[in-house]
Amino acid sequence: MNGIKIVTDSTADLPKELVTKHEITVIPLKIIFGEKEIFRDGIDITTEQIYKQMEKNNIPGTSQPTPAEFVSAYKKLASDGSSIISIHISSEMSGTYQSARLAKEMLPDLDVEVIDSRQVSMALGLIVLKAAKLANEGRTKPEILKTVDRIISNIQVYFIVDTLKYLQHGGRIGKAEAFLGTILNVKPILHIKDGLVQPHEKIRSKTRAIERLVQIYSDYTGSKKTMCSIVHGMNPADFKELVKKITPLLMYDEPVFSTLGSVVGTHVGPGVIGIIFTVE
Amino acid sequence: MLIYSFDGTDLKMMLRGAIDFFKQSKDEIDSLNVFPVPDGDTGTNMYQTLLSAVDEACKMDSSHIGLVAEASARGSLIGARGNSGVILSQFLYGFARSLQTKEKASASDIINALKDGAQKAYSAVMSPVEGTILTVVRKSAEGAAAQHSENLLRIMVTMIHHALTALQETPDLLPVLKQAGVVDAGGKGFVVILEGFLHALKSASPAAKNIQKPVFKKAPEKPFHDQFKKNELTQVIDCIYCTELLLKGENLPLEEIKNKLLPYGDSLMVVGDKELAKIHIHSNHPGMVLESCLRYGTMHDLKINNMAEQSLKLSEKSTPDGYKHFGIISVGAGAGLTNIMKNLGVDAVLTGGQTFNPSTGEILALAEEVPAEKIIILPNNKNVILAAEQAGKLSRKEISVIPAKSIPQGISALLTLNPQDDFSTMVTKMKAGLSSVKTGEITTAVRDTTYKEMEIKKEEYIGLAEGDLIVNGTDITVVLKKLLEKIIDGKGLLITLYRGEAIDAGLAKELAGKMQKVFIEQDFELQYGGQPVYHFIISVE
Repeated sequence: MNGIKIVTDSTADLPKELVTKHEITVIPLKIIFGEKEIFRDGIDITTEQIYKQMEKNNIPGTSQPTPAEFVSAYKKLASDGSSIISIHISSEMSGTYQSARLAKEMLPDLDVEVIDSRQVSMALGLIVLKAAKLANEGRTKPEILKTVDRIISNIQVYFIVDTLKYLQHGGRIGKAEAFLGTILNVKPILHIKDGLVQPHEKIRSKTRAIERLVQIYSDYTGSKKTMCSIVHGMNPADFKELVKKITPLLMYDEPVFSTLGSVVGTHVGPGVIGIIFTVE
Repeated sequence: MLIYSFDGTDLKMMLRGAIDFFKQSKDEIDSLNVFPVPDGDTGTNMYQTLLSAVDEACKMDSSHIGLVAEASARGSLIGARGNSGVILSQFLYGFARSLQTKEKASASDIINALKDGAQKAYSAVMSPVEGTILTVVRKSAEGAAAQHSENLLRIMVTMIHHALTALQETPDLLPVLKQAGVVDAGGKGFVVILEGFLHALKSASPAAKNIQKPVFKKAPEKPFHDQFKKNELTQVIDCIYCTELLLKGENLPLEEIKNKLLPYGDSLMVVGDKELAKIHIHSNHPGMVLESCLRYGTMHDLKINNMAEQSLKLSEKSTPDGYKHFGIISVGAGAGLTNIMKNLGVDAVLTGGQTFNPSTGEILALAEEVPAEKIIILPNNKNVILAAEQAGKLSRKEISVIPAKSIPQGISALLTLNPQDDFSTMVTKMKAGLSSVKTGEITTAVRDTTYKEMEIKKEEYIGLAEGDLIVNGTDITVVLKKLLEKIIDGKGLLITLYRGEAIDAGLAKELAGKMQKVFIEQDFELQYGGQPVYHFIISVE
């Protein structure tokens, strides 16, 4: 029987053990320092190493996988006659989806479905994870695509950054210029809407911002069963605090805890914590 | 003495009489405030409002009472300061509208105008309170109507009698007045104005009537500069020198001058009459403009401004790409608070607060300057809200006043700001933000008084919660602690102490540390506000 294989990219920030367990193929994006130093996200470089460089004001560039890289991955996966569902970072944030689409066009004989998740990090991760679980359960392609579509339109991402500097540097945030308030220690809560990072609200002090994340979660989900993930970028203290506060409210028995990968980490900077959830 | 009608000249004389009288009573009225908080500026506010009304009225070179009254109303609208000032301006506005078409006003015209003025004053306040200037205004008008006489002097005397009675009764209507042992300050101000009117009428002499000033005849609706300011700011500036002057001569050919000047720039305006013309043009060759004008007459009040410079100054705070779909004006005092507000996205901070309420005109002028078509105003003081709303009505821009009564409320509203929202969502969110914070203030009593069974001595510290005096004492630590006990109503709250200019950093730090130990479940943050009058402004959120 022909199977279905799930492909994503490294911006999904999926923990390695889940990638292995659910047989997900992850195509790495690239981190580029200067002109020559190129690292594969999640393979050649760690997020800690990136942050150390960023502290020295050495902010790297990032780059999407080439179509050729997708072609070779798709060919390999389809060699046993499997179909492929390839789900990627928001096309508003990266050209990865574009590369995957070109690869699909170069392989007219293969059954490849390329999907723009309109999301990034574990929001993309949760979508991919669900798709992989369904594929492994032997669900059909239309069933999987339907579920994926539904999650894409429902999934919620809220996160706090220490500074907007990196998002602005990478051009990954829209008109955030009025998101100010450094004197009063204002923390911006951001979310992903229409495929882009957008300001949601401002809260004074980190502690209260974390409490607000918990409140947003409970306001949205009520007592419904959720899929949920909590992520951070080298910020274990705030991460623990958020987990502690949200655990009593969680309606899902295995929330996915994850740390940001190098590419996402480069764009949001250190100190990020966030929550991703969708009602099942 | 019998007077059966007033004309514009009489009205001007009466207004001048009123301002002379008021000047002498200003300080007395200031001292009539209920709270020992140093906000006694009702007299000053009304005086400034009246002064602006009298100035405009006297500039009106006409004896048409409708025109003079209208000029005084316009002046008072622009100069309106504080609540009483705005109410006074609304009274004058209603009064003037009633007389609009009258060359001269008879007793019954005046009685009607007084009634319309009182009505307009009531409608200016969202929830009118009896026992204030409103009651005095209304009863004065009713008193005038009750005197069935054609003699205006008699009507004035009766009216003042009613006004005084109404003023004496204000403490019966408003318990706070009674407790403080004072009559309403705004009401007192109105009585003084009426007394000034009467005094001027009685001492009227032919010489006193001759008060015309040589001024430009057709008073423009708005200052010329203002009319063009909008365009100056939103357009790319091609012609950088704004050139304005008055041209005096004989048989000035306005059309010809206009045609002559047309090639030298844009935004050209040549208005006036055969003897006096106002000229306004944006030009890159102001010298040629002046030379051309010299051929027709003499030049006066010459002004040349570099608009590129002005524009740059104004747009400093706007975004790098010049995109600005809204602007924010916030009222406040103190270097620290100004910085904090600007850091939260405010475009311009207008100096003002408890002891100095900015006027409608000042707010209006700033609203015109901020390079955006939609403006949000944060009054941050209950006595500035009306003036801000008045400015909103007068401006050609779309203005929304967020009725913030304190600095913490203003800051709280600013925190809701999301530039991606549309204007009305932004305004709704900001208004909702007002209630998410509680305000405390600590200042020094300016006189001895009794308030709600509290014996308050001059120079003592007093603490206010949401503007209401609730604690007094000589030890600031104790006053601060008691005030916080009253306003803290939960756990895990963020309490910000904005220290005023009179409190040094060391003392503030020490106090904040002490409070953190007392209120262990709350988070304290100390900020430099630099504000006058208040040693601390406190927000609890």
